[in-house]
Amino acid sequence: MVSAEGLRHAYGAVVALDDVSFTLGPGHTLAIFGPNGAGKTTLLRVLAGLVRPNGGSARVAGGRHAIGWIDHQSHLYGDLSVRENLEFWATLYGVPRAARAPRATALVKRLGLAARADTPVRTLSRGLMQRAAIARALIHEPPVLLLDEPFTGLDLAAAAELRALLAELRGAGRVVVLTTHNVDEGVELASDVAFQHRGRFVAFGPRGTRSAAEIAAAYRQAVRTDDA
Amino acid sequence: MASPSRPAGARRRVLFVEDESALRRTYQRFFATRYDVAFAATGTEARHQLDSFQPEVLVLDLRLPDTDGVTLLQEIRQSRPTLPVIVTTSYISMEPLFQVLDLGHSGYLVKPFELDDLAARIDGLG
Repeated sequence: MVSAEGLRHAYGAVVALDDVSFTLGPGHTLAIFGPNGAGKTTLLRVLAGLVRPNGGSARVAGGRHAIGWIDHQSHLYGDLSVRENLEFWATLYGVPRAARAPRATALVKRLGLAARADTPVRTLSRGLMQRAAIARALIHEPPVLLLDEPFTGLDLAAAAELRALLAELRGAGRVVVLTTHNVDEGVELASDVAFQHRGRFVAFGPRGTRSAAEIAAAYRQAVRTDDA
Repeated sequence: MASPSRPAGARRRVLFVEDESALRRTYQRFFATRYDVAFAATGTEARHQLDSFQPEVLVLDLRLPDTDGVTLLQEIRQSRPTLPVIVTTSYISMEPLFQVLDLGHSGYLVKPFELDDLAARIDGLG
């Protein structure tokens, strides 16, 4: 459903992807851990079709419309309300007209935005803005979610809600690929774990029943960084 | 990782188990001036050297021609439960990595690594 084969990419002399390969089937959540500059964002951007790699190939079944994307920008229009943004993005993604408003309503409720659904996005706090961005990424019910540091900017309650939502989506068979530099974030969600360092997957595989502490210990050995 | 006691001034005995001859030669050139070194290219040779050389530190490649490195490490843990072992490996799947850490007194370095990093690991054993 999501696969990469021998991906390579560099920005000048800086190697961002070095022979990255993996395959994920339905219901899998891959958490990619790595320090800043490891190439995590580049990998997600290649999977999303936003960056053409120097070598290798990536495939997401269903193409770009099958992808829900969250990164450091909200991709929301500040002068439009949350609901208007969601209905706008639903239109762009080709969601049938009759389904747009009901989906937007369901998502603002699910993400705790109902009370602010009709206020301009520019008035939202950073945490609420991130929730709205998550709603935007889900409006077309994509089978694949690519999430770049999705917990950044969320308070504890919102982070817990996002974890619950992602667990729900995983149960529904969605594929989720998320990146984080913090091993404690998102690890409970992961069915599979990768450690990315200097563009390479230095380790990759099923998480099994390993705890966050065990994964953190393994990560420190593999990546030898102080920010694990 | 704990290190066995060693007489003051004595050089640390390090056994390198590595099947690539070029890498063994590199280890020899780089480390022979600072440690007492011995080498093994296979699991069988490693078992022999463990008995005859009595290393204080083992640097173990995970992929050997005759033995899986994790299996060899499990064996070693039966007779030498506290021998510090630094596993060196290329890309690995997650489970062997966890197994190495489960066996205790063990760490690993992912290839390619800087020789100074390996030296720092060995020197960091106390």
